[in-house]
Amino acid sequence: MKVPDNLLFSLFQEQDARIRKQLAEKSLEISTGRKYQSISDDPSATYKVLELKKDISQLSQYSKNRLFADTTLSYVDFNLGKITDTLNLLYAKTIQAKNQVLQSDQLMSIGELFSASLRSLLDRVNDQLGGNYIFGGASLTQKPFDENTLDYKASTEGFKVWLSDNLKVDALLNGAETFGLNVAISRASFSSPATNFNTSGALNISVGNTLINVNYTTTQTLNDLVEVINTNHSSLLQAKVSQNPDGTYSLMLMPVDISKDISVSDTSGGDFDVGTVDFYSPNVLQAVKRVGEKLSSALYPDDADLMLLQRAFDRVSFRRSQVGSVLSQVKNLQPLQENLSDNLNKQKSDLEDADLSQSIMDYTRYRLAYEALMRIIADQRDMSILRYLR
Amino acid sequence: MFGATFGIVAQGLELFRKSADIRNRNILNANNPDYAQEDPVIKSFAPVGIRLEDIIRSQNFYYMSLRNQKLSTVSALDTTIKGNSQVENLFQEFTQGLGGSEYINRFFTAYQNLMKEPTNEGARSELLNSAQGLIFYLKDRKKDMERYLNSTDYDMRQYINKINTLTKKIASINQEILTGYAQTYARGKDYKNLLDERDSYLRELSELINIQVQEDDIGRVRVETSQGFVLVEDRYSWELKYDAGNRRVLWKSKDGSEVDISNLIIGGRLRGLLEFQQDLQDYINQLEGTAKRLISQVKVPLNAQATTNWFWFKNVSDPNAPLGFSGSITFNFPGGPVVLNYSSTDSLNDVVNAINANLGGSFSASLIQNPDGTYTMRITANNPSYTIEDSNNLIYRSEPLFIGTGIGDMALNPNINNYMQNLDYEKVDEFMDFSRGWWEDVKVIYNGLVDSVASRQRDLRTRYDIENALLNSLNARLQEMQGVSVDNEFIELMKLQRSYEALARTINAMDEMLQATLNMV
Repeated sequence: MKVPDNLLFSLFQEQDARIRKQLAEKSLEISTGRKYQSISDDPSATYKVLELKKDISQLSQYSKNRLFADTTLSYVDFNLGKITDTLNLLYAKTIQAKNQVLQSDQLMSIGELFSASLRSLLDRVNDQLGGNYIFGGASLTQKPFDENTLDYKASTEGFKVWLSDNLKVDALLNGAETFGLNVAISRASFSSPATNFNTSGALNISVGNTLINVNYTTTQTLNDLVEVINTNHSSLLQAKVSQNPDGTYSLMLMPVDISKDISVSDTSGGDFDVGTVDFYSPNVLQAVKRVGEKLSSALYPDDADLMLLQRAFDRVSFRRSQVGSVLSQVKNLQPLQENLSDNLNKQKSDLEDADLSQSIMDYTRYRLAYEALMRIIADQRDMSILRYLR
Repeated sequence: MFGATFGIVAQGLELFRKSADIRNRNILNANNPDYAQEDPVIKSFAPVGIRLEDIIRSQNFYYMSLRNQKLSTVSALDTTIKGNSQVENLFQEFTQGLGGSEYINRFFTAYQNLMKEPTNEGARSELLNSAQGLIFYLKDRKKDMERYLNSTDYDMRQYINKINTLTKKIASINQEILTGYAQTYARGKDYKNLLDERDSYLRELSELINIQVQEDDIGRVRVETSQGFVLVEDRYSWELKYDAGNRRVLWKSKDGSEVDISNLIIGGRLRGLLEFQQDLQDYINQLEGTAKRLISQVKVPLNAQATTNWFWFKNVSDPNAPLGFSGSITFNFPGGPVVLNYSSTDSLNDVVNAINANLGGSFSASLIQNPDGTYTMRITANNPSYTIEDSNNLIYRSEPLFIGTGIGDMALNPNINNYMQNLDYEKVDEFMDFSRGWWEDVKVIYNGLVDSVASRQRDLRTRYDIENALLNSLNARLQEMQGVSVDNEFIELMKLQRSYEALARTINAMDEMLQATLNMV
């Protein structure tokens, strides 16, 4: 068989190019530490890496959201704690005022404490974090509580952030809900709780999903109505006669269950039907203001005031426990997200990073093959008739 | 008395010299891949001596054709791979901070970050910067690919010029072969160097375009490309032409007409370039798809100070197809509220028409075709205080973040700075939710593009490796058949040398014999 010289050289060139290419690839792999240098090296790995990059980015964003929620909810929790402390103090002072015989200036002095506490509470409920009002809900930049009327002015929706694909939490609370009291006070007021009603009527009371109707007649007084309600609906409601700061009396209704809402209306044309809003629900601030104003007017607090402040404390504590529960959920997410992040990064690293020991072994193997090829070429060069021709 | 003998010896010496020339030519071309080894055929021509009957050229035309066909395939793959390598280098997805996926991820994380803290100025500027970065990335990549596409036009012209030159040369060689054959018919038909030249041109031509070659008895060739489009016949050649406007290859007939043979070319660098052009066009379309999807989908929630436009957030491919779900839209305005119900059999177009028919005085609805070919509905309120609520949460007061019809005119919405100051904070969590779907959509399109580039290149390389191995094998076979072994040639030369020396010595012997005879006189 004829073996042309050119064929031998072609073969050598071909093998030389192949081994050099493999050597170059391994050198790059070792120097960059990356298994793949270009996307076509392994399209399947490329696709997975791109998917993982997106997942890691999304997870990183969820972690940022979680951190945001953690920070804001911790601050909200701190503020709610301070508010409950204040309400606790005011409750104690109210019991003290109710149970002791005090001079009017002593009552007014406690009223001053209420007034100062109200300003402090107002600061707390209108507090900001990172430029956002923590109790302004989704309004973010709208001051939640009016300094004069104490009415809630901001969004009635909480500001939500997503912590995972399926979980979103209120990071900034809706102040109306947080500080709203499930207490209804009649706008109609009476000079005495023992005076008969002028006009008969009926109250439509909704507690949670339960609707009840309570009729009143001209033979009944406010005290009678309170007794009827407390006797017939004690499992749902508590009723009290509440003295207003101007000395008149109103009906105060409150669900037994702290989490249930209450709304009361009277469309019967009776004494309690005074317009479009027959009963109003004060918020925590307005409750404090109401009791404080009574004390400032040198009026003794009554059971309704104690019940109102107790409810304010309970409601805020209830909200705080809700925040605590969410905060705990948020904090629990941290190790989960960090673990997931580690796993995703490991997967990405396994795909992308070179196995250096394997690469070095391969490099050594190719280098040996290259040296062997060079040796063969050198030997082959000597095997020629030209060596023997002189 | 020795007249005839001297003549025979002189003729023999000349033939040996001629044979030595042929051997020398073989050694000279030992490293020429197109050279076919030649062997002189010396025959006894009794009683008058010997003569050079023929010069055999160790060539197998069939194998050479096979090799050339394979060369066409490999060259096509090589060209497409080189082009695709350029494109592949644009997608540095493994290098931190350079891949397009990172631009997309950065943009959407910035978007979601803003939806988490819409009052944060840093988050706003990060969104704008990342959006601008993404636009620049898309524009730059498209420009790069268009530049490659334009450079293929230059390469195409070069290749076609080269093909036209080669076909002319082959036609000219055909003519020379005929002349050479006629001139050397009686002296061993020694015109085979022309065939080497011809083979070299055929190899070069095969590298550029797939050809089929027929050889006649004396070595002239008829060359045609796919489906019988002739490039060379006898001393005539046909030209190709490149229509850069349409990126087509045309075959020019002798009557002046032109035929588009782009789809018929199946090999050579021309095929490689045509395929690369097609690949580039596909990649550009997919990149455009990414931009169009971004323009069509990404919107920001706005308050009444920013806009009176409300958009339907479920883009549909056919505005006349049934929605497949029912719901109701509540329009709040001084004369309202008005509730408009839609059923699962209603189309988006029906909803548009119903709004215009029932709320014409306060709201106007229009069907909008998005750049990605989908449709959406835009409702414009006559007064900023008017609001709309959809029971399926599909209608929001918003505006697109990007504008344009594709990468070319893609830009940030010119009112974006105003929009950033007037985000609807109550809806940001819902837009964060939408953004996850948009991100997924855009990711799928972009990853599809990267996957196309990667898989295509991988496929081409695999095919190249296989085809190139086959080409090397064919080349080796061809080399075995027609290549030159220097060792063999030296042995043959030594044989010739011996014969020449022996024959030369007979002249001395005859001279001495003649001298002896003369001395006898």
